[in-house]
Amino acid sequence: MIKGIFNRSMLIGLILIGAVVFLALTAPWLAPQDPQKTNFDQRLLSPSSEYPFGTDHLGRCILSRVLFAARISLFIGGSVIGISFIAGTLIGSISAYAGGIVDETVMRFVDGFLAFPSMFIALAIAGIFGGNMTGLIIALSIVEWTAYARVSRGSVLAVKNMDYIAVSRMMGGRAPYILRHHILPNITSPLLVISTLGMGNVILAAAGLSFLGLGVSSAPEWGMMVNEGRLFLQSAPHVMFFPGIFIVITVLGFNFLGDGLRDIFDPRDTKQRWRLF
Amino acid sequence: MLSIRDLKVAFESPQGPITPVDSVDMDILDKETFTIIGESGCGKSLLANSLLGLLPRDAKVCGKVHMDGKEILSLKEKEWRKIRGNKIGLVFQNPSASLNPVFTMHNQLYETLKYSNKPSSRDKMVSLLKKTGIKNPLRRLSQYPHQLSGGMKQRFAIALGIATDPEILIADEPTNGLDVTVKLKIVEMLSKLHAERSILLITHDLNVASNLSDKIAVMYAGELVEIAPAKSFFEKPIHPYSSQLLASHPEKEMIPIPGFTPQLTQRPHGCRFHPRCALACRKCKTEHPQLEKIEEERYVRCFACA
Amino acid sequence: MIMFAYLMRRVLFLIPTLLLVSIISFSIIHIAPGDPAELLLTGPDGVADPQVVEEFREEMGFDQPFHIQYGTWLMQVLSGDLGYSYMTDQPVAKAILHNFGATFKLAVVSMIFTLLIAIPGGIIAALAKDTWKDDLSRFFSLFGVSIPNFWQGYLMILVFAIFLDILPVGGYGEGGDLTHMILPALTLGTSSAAVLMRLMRSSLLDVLDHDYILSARARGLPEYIVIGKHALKNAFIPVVTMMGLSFGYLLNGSVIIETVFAWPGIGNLMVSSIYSRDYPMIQGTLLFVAGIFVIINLLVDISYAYLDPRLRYDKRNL
Repeated sequence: MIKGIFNRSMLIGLILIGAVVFLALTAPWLAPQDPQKTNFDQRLLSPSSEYPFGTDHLGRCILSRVLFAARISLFIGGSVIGISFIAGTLIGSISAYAGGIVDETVMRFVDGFLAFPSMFIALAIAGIFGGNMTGLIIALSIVEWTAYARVSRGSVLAVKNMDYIAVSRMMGGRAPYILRHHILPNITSPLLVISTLGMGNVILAAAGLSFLGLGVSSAPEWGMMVNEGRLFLQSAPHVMFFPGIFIVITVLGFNFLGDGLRDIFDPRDTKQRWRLF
Repeated sequence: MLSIRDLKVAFESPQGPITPVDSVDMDILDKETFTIIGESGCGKSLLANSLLGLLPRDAKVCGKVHMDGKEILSLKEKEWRKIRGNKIGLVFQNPSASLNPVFTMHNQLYETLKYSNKPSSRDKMVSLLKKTGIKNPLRRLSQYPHQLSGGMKQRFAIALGIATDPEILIADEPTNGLDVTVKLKIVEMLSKLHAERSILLITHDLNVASNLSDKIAVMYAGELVEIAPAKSFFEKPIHPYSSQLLASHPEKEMIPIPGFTPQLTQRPHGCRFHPRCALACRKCKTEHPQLEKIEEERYVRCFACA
Repeated sequence: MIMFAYLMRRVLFLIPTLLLVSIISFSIIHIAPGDPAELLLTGPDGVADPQVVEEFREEMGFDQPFHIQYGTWLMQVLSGDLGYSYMTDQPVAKAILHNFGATFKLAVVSMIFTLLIAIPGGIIAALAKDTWKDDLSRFFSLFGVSIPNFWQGYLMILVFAIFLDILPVGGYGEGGDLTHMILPALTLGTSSAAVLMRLMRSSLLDVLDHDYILSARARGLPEYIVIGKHALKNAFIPVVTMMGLSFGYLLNGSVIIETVFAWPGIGNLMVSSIYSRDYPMIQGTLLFVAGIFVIINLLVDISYAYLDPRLRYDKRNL
């Protein structure tokens, strides 16, 4: 048993994420109904055998919608993290490598963005774009990229100043080699952790913005579904309940995974600490 | 006054149980300065901590320690508090770590005195500081640890140790990391305390040991391998490790001891020192020697020498 | 004296950041492709009359070069004028201050809840490390940050306002009375507590490892002093920092929570001004919120330096 590499948190996280990914991938086959099909004489029905999660105010099957919404959320999350990762890592590394005034300018630029509470700026950007998925992805990427820039910049700076880089250079090592052999290993673990936790945060933020009507509006999305269900809180609470549960499960999965990864990469042995001297 | 019998401290590790302190027997008399010499990692500090019941939660302790006739290892937490500070005091290695950085020296000294029900007046504190050689005591009291020099911090740590007037003061590496001149002054100060109480000194500095000790015990790989009165020890060490230790000193021939100190999980069979011993014979490889009395007040753990 | 120099340096460094913040706030409209005037006047039923758009463009000064627009705006802002709302024709600054007052009240009560949950929770988790209490605390923390706050808000409303009917569903009440504040504050407070609890725990665990704790015990000090005085004073230092960051978290959360509970705070203002394309309000709110955020971070840094005597007296760290 590879006890060292896996721990309980990671396992729970992977199971939860795996389940959601599976549901997302198989949604077209698993969903009992067409998520967009309206049915005005089946509105706001409580969960039943025909409609396991009930129906919403337009008679649509909530289970089907929830399953399709999983695809949307994972897509948005993946896109934002992907864009932020690439843009952030590139900008951060180059800035640190270049050093000097370039570095200073970039850092001031980053600080400028970080001066805003993330929700406000994401809201503004998504709003300006008018409330569609593209705008949402752009808005969230603008907020997320800074974390990657910071991490990669930190790693590059740390390595840049080390002696063995000077030695490596003297022995003829050039930038790509240094990048691959010295910087990459240092960088992978923190980037992995923030990507995982970031995924959870992005999904939450996307749901929040969609809830406000500034995110996805054409396809089912969990946050947007909660918003739709809000008018029927008293009469049909199931409408807003189920999408929310799925958000919790998905984000919890990513948080467990990230937490577990963080424990591995930053080992502070909890159960076995003894001091010997 | 303090008698230790068969003291063992063990932990569970992924590689099995380990015993950093393994069957230690020794006695400390009233007003005697007893020094334990050993390299880092031989278990000295754990031994010191165990005498105050300060071992980590997962440590297993066995053996008996009698202080003034009373057994203390089996005490409950509440009773330990009466011993700590009051009967046995402990001065830690590295006072930079053992002084709380967010409280003033006055605060820390005052609470030490107060909670042991000792007089805590300003005059009392000043005289205590003077005793440990701190000049400008009033000014120093209002300062924080990071504002003091290394030597000053050490003096404070010792002052905190004797503030509660314990019968035994354990000083764990009191001169570690200090400049030579400061070291001498600390040794001078400690020797003045010698007359008032017993001191259990732990050090790997042979100069300090020779200046302060009445008795020496040498620790290797968790065991005591030699116990002797200081004078006869430094004149003629008996255990091979002891003699090689002295020979490796810069002021003597500076011959390093071949090999490395064994890891806790990889202790040699038989005599633990045999891989590095010039006098080792076949018996040393297979049988584990016990501590034997050779002369009056001299004990050695060695087949070749006993 | 040293503190003062440190303060001055920090404030000086803020200026470029604030400048950038003002630029971003001002120009956010330009991020989207398309003409700003058109964008602002485009309703759900399509683009407005081109003539109206043209007039609007002139009136708002969108036809001026960017730096002129920005410069004019900046001058106005520095003299305290944040413009007038498109919707209400009232001064933006007035609306912002009024709404921020409501958010501030909510934030304070939320913070109280947060501290009440996180501090004892974190301490117990640390002292009972590796037992079920610790595991429970960890689960609470992970769960707390995984719950979407709008959903949590509605659940709370469902339980307390609808089923139990002991609290109002939302709104401001009479100038923000307690009963109207409890549910939103509790919702905000529990999420923020989830984060703070972990920090309290790890901070205390870190401190308990230090030699000065062992030394305090060795001097015969009673356990409640060892933990209550020595350990906690050190453990609280990073927690105070975190409280400041918590406030930022609360500010973010206000956007959604205030919408859910119809609380007239700054988050609510931001959302409604985005809905109505009230551009001066958007600019002003962004600027204001960023400004508050920056000030809070500064205060946090200062308090950190004050609490840790090593930073107070030691020049090198500054």
